[in-house]
Amino acid sequence: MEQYIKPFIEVCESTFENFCKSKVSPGRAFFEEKNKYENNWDISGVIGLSGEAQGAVAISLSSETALKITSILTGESHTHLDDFVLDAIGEIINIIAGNVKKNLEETFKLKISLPTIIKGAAHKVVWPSEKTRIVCVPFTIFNSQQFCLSVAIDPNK
Amino acid sequence: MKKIIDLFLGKKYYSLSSLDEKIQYISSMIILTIVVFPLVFLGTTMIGQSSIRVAFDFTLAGLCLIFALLVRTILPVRYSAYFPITAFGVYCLYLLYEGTRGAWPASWTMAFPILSIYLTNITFGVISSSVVLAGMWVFLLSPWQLGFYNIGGAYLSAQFRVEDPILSTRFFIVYLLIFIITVIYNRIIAYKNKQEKLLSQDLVYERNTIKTMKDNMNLGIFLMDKNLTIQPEYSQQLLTILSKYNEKLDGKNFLDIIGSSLSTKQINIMMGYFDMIFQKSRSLEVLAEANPLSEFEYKVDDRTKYLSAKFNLIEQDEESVYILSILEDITQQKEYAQEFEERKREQEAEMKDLFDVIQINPMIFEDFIETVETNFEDINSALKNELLSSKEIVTKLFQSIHAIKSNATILGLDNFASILHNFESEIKLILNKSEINEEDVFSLTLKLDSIMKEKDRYQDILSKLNQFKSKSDIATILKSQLEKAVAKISQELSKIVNLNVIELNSEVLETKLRKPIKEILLQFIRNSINHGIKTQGELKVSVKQVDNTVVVDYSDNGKGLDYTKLKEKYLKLYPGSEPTKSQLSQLIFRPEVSTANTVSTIAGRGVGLSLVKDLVSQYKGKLSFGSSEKGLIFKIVFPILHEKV
Repeated sequence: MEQYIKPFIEVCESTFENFCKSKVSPGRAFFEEKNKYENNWDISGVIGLSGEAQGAVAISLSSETALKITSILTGESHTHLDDFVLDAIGEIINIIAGNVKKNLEETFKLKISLPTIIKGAAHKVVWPSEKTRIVCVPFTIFNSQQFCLSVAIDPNK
Repeated sequence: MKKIIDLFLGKKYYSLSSLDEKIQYISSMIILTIVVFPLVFLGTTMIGQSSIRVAFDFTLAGLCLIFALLVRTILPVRYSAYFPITAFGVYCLYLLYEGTRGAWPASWTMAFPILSIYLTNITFGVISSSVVLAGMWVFLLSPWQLGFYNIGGAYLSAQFRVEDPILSTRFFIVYLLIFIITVIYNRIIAYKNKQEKLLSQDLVYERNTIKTMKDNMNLGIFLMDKNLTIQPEYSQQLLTILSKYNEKLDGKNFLDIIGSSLSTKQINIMMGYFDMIFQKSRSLEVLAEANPLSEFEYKVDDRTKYLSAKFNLIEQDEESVYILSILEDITQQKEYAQEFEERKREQEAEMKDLFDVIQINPMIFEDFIETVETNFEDINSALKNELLSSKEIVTKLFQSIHAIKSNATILGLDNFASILHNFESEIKLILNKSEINEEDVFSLTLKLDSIMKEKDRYQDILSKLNQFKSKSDIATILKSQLEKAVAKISQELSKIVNLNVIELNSEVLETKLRKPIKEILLQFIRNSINHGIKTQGELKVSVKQVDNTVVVDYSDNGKGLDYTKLKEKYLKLYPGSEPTKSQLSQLIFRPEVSTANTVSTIAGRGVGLSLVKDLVSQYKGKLSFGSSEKGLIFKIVFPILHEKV
């Protein structure tokens, strides 16, 4: 399990450093509980994983964080979750999943789906699978803001 | 030398397929070429003597040469000799006709049957030889010499005569003899060829069959001589098995080929083993038993194959002694066997888990699952609490896992307990470190997932079991539970009690009333066997649905209520009072009253019938009972509860 989750964390750090010129630091990972709504995420980008492992990876952010990230990427300021923001978040999760796919290539071959963006106040991303628990890694960005990278991955036997 | 032979044979020789044709081709060429020399010589000597013979000689020589050349190119082999032979036949006839002139040149005729039959075929040979024979008879022996002479006219008559009839007769007989012997010889040879052909067809068929079998069996079959050199006739499959696809293995040493997969020690053992085979010092069984290669790993092209080899001594004669070796690729069997073993282990573990779960009361088990989940949530909350230090988190984890482990151990979930134990030890190792960092927390957190997966698995087993249980007949289960209780209690008290179940309505038992009814009946049974029945008796039970009510009837044939003892108890509670029978009867439903003198697990705690009363009122039922010297009767009426369990 650890060897599959770790690449996601490392890739997430490097992605933000390379593309957003922002340092992010991972916090203590925990398991996502389906029935609890503790965070107020406004936007999430989700990518499904298939192939020699099943699962998904998602990034969930508050609109404030999402807007700031988009501004850095586009060089313009955004005030609400417009198409640019959706594209930017989709692109970020796409880069993360793509790089993890490349890093894990020696262990197993992964296929990644197209990114799906979820928008809405206080939403939660869950997977119907009973078996694979979602590991949520909280990240701190811009010193005080938080976002969450959720990973569930179950290698095929 | 080879070049000269090739030049002589020409290209055509190699295009001929059958051996017969080749022989005919060569002999035709040789004979047609060789006869040219005497013909030319004789023709030359005849110049000036007989112009006809000169012409014949040269014509024949020419024909022979032409056909010797033609047969090399376009002419089919079997036609090559027809013309020269025909010409020769005519020449013979001419010589005969010409008679005794000179040194009887007609003696060439003796060669005619041989050449004709040999060079052409039997039919043409016999016909042409017969024609010559007939001519010979006409010219040498026939009484109609003159007739012929007349027919032939004056031109032929001059040279036609027979000088010596005896010589002529001998000449004729010798020709006939040669003719017959040639025919017989030809026929014998033809018969022999035919038989040989049949024989060789059989051999070819046999050989093809064996080859087909050899090549299509999935076995690598080969012979090895004393030097362990592989002999040429090995089966094609051997190449596949040894992964030596485009190689020739004959002449190679068997141990060299497989040697890279064996240790030096193994190779030495193998050499000793082969010596043993050649020396025939051991029986076949011993040799088969001692075979070091009955199963071995063969490493080739980065992969490992499992092969099995068998060796047998083959002795054709003193000189040729071989080892017949059979090599088989058993990789797949081996893999299947391993997979099978793994499955079996998994299944056994699953069976063990199932067995463990079956033994646990489902309620208790559900409690356990809940405990695991609660602990998991506790850990998770701790993880989310940023104020806690790494050490505090790991300590919390340790406590929770320990708690779950204790529970699992108590319930006898051995597999789960051992997994938890290992995890606990791992946590302990980290706890003992002087400094615990976030990395440790992370890796332990993720391992928690596998514990939870194990929990999921048990939960699955439980739900499967529950499905299974609900399918079996609920009434039968209750009946057997009651029977077991009766058997157990009566045995402990050395009484003989018979349970008569009159009716147990399944629909009623599917409602929430099942549990209270079961509990009530168990209490009644305890009460009856303990107090009512002396040594032998019968209990009657019935649970039925009457309109909108459930009626539970229970009776025993014991001694009924012991009013004397009840009165004693009553007076203890209410000294100085004068209780009625009904008041005394009500006493049995009071928790603190038991008429038994000693307290046992079965009765005497005084809770039995009070529990019944509680349950009846809880489910809004009505209880009535009667007591006589013939026994006790209870009747409970519940309003029906449609809600199913």
